[in-house]
Amino acid sequence: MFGQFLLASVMLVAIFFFLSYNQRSQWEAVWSYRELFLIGWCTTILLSAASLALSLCIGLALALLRRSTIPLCAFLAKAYIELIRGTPLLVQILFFYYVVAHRVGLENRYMAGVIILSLFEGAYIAEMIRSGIESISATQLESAKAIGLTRSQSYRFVILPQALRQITPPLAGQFASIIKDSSLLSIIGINEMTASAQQINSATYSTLEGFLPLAIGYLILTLPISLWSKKLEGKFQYET
Amino acid sequence: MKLEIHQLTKKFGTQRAISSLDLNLPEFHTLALIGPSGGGKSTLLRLIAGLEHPDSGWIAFDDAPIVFEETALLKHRRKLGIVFQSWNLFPHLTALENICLPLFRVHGLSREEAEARSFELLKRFELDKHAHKKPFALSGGQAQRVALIRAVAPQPKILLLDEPTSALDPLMSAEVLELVLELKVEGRHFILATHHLNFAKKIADWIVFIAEGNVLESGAPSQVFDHPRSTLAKQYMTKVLAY
Repeated sequence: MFGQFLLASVMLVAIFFFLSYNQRSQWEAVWSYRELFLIGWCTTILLSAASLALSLCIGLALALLRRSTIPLCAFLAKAYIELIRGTPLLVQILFFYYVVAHRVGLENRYMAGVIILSLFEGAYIAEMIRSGIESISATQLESAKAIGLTRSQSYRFVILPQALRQITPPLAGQFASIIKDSSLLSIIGINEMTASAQQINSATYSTLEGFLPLAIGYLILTLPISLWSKKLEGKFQYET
Repeated sequence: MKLEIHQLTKKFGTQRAISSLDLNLPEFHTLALIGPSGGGKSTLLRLIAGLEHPDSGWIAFDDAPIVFEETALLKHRRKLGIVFQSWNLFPHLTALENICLPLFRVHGLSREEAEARSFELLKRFELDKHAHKKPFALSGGQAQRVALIRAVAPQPKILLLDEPTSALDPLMSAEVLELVLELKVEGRHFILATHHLNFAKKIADWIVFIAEGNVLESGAPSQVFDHPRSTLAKQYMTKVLAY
């Protein structure tokens, strides 16, 4: 794990030094803004964690709606999922923030950011949960029925525990996506990591220097998650 | 135990799996359903288990008809022990947890009582050293015996076994059939669908031969095996018993 991280960092640093070879670099000036950058980094973590929690709720609700026996519910859930997955996140952020959020009087841009990101990621998570539930064979549901469990007990004790094992690895991967996608929230003035890097670059009149720690800042978060996700995949494969 | 089935029909699409089936058993202890694959044995067993809804007709145990409505069916299924061909156990739970789950969640035992009873049963059938293994670590025969124990543990009125050995090799089948015999000695009631004719002969006090969705023979083992009346049953027995 550490090796991969090191390799990625070394490659990044090499590229940056190659590009800024003939320029006077501004590393001292950038270093003096480290606190701003750290605040942005923490904001990214908080935004992503809040979005993960909310998008899990949205995803589970959508997945269950999608499997509902009421055709209208299933149709609406499917339509929502297709709508979200068929449009770019940037467009959704602009639309929800400048049209919907202002219309409903949601002024806190951080809260709006978390909601927008969760609505987006929730659609993807819904499909993961749905495929997880569907991968548990019908015979399991039947066995649960045969031993006298009610439908909700069958889901609680038999289907969901198995489905959760199946979807934990892709879900962990999705968390890494949430962290990366949160960078787009800088467009509506949320001071997360990408926004702080941009601020540092303009304040120090530098072009590149702020972006190197930015990329490393994201890698520190996403690499361990994607490695953890791979590890989980191997573990659960053995068990089933 | 008394079993009555009247004009029972079950269709899958346009295919009639069970077609106006009548059966009247005033008293049976162990009933074996035999007959060719696709003849309707499994479907009949699943209807009796309340896992399928009939298109028409009715089934009654001891003069009480099964009500095909979800709440009533849930109650009905809780009085039965059901074992399928394969993949009965829940893969995310250990053998012990598999047996405990219905005792604890359905039949109102405390967690300790459920565990004690499950462990005692595993011990009696010499499976206690596998108590904490998950199904993937058990052999097919062991897994199927655990499934049988899970079905027996709540002390159901009747056990329904749908070809419990058809996914197992001969040695594992023998292990499972041995356990079934032991349960029979204990005085349990059974309805069993099987291809093991010799086993059916040995265990059952009533044999029903089902083909093309209907009962072609119904009688004591000696009568059905030695003097079948229908040509289909005759052909089936000769072929199966030839090897």
